[in-house]
Amino acid sequence: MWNLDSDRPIYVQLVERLQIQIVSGQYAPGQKLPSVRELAAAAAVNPNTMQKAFAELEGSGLVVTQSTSGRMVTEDSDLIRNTRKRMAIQKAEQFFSGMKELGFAKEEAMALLEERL
Amino acid sequence: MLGKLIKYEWKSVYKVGCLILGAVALTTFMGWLAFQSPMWKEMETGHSYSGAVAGWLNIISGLTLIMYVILLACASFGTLVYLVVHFYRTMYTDEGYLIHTLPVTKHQILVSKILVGGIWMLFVGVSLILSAVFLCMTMLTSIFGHDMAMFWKEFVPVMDELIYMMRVDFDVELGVRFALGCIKLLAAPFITLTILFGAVSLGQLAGRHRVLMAIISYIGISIAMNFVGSVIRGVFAVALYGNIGQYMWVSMDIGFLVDLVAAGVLYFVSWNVISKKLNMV
Amino acid sequence: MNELVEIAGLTKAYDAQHVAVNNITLTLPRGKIIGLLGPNGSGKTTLIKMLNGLLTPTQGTIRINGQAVGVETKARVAYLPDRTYLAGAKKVSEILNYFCDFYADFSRERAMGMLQSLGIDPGARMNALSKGTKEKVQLMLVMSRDADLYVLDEPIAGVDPAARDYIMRTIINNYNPQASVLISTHLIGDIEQVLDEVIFMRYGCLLLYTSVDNIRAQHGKSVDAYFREVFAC
Repeated sequence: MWNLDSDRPIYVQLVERLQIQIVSGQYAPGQKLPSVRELAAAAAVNPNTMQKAFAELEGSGLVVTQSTSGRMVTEDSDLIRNTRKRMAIQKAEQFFSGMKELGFAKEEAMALLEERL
Repeated sequence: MLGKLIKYEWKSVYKVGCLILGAVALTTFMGWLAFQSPMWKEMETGHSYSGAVAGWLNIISGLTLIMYVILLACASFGTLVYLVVHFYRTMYTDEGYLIHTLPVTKHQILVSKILVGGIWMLFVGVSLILSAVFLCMTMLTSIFGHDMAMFWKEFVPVMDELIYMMRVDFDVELGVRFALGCIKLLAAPFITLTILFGAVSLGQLAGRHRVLMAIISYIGISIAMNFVGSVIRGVFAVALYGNIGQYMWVSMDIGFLVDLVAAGVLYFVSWNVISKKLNMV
Repeated sequence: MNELVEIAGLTKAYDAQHVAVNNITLTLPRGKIIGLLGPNGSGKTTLIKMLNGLLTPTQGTIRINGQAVGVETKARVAYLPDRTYLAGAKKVSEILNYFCDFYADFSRERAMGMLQSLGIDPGARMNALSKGTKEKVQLMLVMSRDADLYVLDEPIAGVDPAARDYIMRTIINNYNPQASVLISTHLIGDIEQVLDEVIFMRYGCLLLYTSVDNIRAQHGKSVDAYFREVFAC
């Protein structure tokens, strides 16, 4: 069962989770994805919600549907790389805005990061 | 679907049915044992067997016979009570959730219950008659010992005379009467059950105290049936004034017809309750 | 194809003071898992019993697959009551035969598979089983059917968390775009993730019928939290 937050729409969280699995290479480019039903059972969510998440991923092009073999991860490695980068930027921005809340200037935050490594 | 309902209804009552038949057989055997007491021999020979042992045997024998009558009465009444309770339990308690959500018609449910229950009552009834006949024969054999041939020699002419008297003096067509009697006997269990099931179903119309309402319904139905029967009998009593023999038979037929009509009405009541007014607690 | 369930003006009054279900109008689509939520005594079970022909409505109509509740609808609705309704003397395998005989859409293989994964002996008699196991048997019978509508009245109230997960998985695995599942419960948090839509009932009235994602998007909280807010005492 996937741990999902209780206050945000479930399909949004499913999209995020699947994006991470794709950009991190858990699902390789061109790899066939499990069926909606299997993934829904694994995540313990409604199949319709999983379907909705897939529709979103198809919209962004990360997942492509082939009538013969079901759904697979796109083979467009540029798209995957770009998505990965976009998600990384988002995470970084989250980090810096969080640090800003705590009163850290950018340089201080950077120094802290270096120190923690 | 009716066949399947009958199959499962049969499966769910046959064990208790067999138990009751077994009890009847056992009771009959006890009765037979009772007639093996020397007491019965004395009736024929006039010779008294003295001694404490014989005395105790006689008391036990007598008690056993009383038990026999009580147990047999319990067998038929017990079967009836069991079937009515079974009907109530499977139709109107939690178990009813199963039968009322099956994709079957309400007629099929009712017919399966009345049919299977009636057949078992018939079985028990026939077993009681057989038991009584068997025990009568045992009693006669005990009393007359080896002189049964003599008994038959006397019995047959008496029966002949009785039949003659019925036919000539009371103007009775015995063949018709016998046939009618058989039909009534066969129909009686089904009629009785249909009426009782109807009373149980009527009880369901009440918001609460549904078992109590079922009992009150049954009392009400019995009173109504007696009343209607009496009124019709009264009419015939006037019409057939002076012809006691004929009146007696007509009166019995009226009783049967009232039962039959009541069963018809109450079948419809049960059907109406479970198909249009069902309110499971 | 027509809607799966159409309820119009449905009312059940036990007497003048006790109106258990009050003028509900509702249409349930196919292919959804729908939560029927409300505090105790809000009329959930009464509504469910009317869907299954165990209670006669005082007013209003119910149509399932376009048909009034009757033989045809009962063949297409799989119902899990909120109580033990199987005779105690019966063996699990006998009950299996019973369902096999009466419901054309019952799959014996699926039932046997579920018994095996739940670790229930088909030869056991019902009255020898624990309360939770009895509930599992009843749920197994319901989910072994290929019905159009599954109506589950409090399916998870009496079972342990592991069985609860199994039940959720079973419902998900059994998902069929032609069929819907209606689940009544007050343990919302446990099943929230599998629900498409929720129906809130209060005092026998329909309070709300919307999708789970709608509630989360609009109110920024889980259905469970939103429910607590709406029904706060």
